[in-house]
Amino acid sequence: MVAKLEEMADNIIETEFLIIGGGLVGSMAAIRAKRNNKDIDVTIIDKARMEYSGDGVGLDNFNQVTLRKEDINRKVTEDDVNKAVFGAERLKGLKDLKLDAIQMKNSYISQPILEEIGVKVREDDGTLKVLQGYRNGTVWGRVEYDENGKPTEPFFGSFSRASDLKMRLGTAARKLGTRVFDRTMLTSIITRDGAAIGATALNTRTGKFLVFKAKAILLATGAASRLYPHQWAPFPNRLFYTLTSPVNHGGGHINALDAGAKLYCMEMSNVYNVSKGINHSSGGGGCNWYFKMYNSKGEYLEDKYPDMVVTKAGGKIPGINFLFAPDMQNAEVEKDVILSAKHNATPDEIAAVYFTAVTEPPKALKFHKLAGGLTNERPAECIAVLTGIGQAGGGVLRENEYSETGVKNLFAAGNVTGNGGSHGFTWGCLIADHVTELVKDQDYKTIDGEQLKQIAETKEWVFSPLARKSEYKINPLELEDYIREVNYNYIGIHKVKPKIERAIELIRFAREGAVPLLFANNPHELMRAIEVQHIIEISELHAQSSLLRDESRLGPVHYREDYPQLDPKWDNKIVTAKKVDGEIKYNIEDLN
Amino acid sequence: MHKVKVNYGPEIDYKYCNGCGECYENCPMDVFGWDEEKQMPVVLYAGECSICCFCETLCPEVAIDVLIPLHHMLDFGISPVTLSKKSKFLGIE
Repeated sequence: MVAKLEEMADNIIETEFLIIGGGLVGSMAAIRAKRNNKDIDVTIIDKARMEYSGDGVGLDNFNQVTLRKEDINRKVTEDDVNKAVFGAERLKGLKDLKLDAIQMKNSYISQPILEEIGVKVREDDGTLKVLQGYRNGTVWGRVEYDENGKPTEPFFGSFSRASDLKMRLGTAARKLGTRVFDRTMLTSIITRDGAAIGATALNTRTGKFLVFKAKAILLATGAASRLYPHQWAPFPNRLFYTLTSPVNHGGGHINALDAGAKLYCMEMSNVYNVSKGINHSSGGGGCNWYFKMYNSKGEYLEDKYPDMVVTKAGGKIPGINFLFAPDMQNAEVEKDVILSAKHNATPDEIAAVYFTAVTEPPKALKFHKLAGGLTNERPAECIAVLTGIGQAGGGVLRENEYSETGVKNLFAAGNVTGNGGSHGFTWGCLIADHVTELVKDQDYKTIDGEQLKQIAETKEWVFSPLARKSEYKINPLELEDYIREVNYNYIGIHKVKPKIERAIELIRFAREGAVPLLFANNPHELMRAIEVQHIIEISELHAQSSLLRDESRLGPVHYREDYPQLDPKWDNKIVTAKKVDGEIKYNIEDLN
Repeated sequence: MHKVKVNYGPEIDYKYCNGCGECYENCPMDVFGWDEEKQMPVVLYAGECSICCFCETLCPEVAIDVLIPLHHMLDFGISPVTLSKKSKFLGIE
């Protein structure tokens, strides 16, 4: 006999629009929905504190490529969209061109909202500063000037000064009447007849178990950032010293999978070029986008490999191209020491680094200050780090133009779908517009029978580490460290079949042999125990998908030593994962 | 408790802390706890600190210093010896 809902839940909350994750996507969606209709009931749950959660602390630019300075004040044309789609052609099988076109057309939909809530997008004189899009035809990032001292066109996107972005978004969302549950972690999505009708969550401070009933749900939980260790950090800092927010462990991915949504491209773990020590790129570290990189022979990589430079719309970030030039077998970063030249930086480069550093966590400027300032004779070393799944495609698959997953009324946006940054703003707005209309005709669905059973099972699973009585108690952090080491040593950048298969064996052995003894003393530690179980699931998804894609694409993002070439048979193909009768089924499907 | 003794993370100087709770309320990784008796924040999970330094900038009394793991200082070209001569950094007067 399953207990009644009132007996299981410490609190039952009805809300028309439930947003899971209060990052850029979640807070923007809440603001947009409330502005569409002030009476719509919107609730955000956030595992951290909304004002300081998510990857987007600040905003240094609108992440759009084809727009130029003069495009900002006009509507995006078909021509612009075609250019973007053309750029995305290189990512065949990794980008949904239909969704990309919608995204491009609405790329600046959020800018007026940001300006209204006080985000400083414009310069003091009211103009918009822009980041250059191309140099020598193709590079993006560093501002270069023509012989007359004018920046060369075209531009990358509007550059903002929004160092207080998240605080303003959070404040605005609350002010508009959004209910916010901070320190609240998603533990399951409740479904009925193939539709999402609610969610369960844990307050990681009080230990209260919450049940939400919702008409529509937006999953905006960010990237799966805790897949690989930061291998230059001590334990346990190596678990939390991630490039993107370590709050985002990938719980949204696993809860969506359990609810019936498909995941895609889980083999694509992004690889990023950062400054060693700071684990940041452009603003934080200074390397890659602003300071030039050179090897031990004094050769500047971008001059040495001009053909490796492509636009971001084309899918690669130049810094990473250079590090892995001329090819994956002879990558500069693996055969040589790559440094970032601070000593000969121009005033514009210094200004650009400072400008972007203030939109990163405060750590960025602190590191520079302690190291003697933004420019000095001591170069920063450039290294490649695996940052998890979310910045290079991969995650929850969106199956229609409303960014809805395969589960009805469950929408997804941002890095959880492999499409973050300011794109998340766009989709946050578009989903909010759709949901504002959608909820008008919806009723709250009944929770009984199957749903009560699901909630009871979830509750038992969530709290089991607290009640555990065993002699050998497993620290979730230690288990997480083990799993991430397995990922690093057996999957990593140079993937090869026997090692991936061994990784799967080790991950499964750890799941069977260690998870049942996970231990927690309090709700905070319970959060870590839940996280590691999700990380184990994501690790196996990553390994299995890496095994299935028997080609290399976007190296080093997915590079198979045993299949080092891009294989045309994989053009427009994605590896998907879906849970059927409790088992994950992998499939190879067409994307477009 | 899963605390691992580490030599990094936020350090609260209780001479200056006024118990406003900004650090406790806003830390993304929830490394702070709250001492109900003293009405002061305490660092409970320094090992889980991501070194973002939000607490340091949010603290109105400038009572928090986030200590950087030695690995990262050395890797980024920050000399603990030089710093310790210059300031109170690392607690060395």
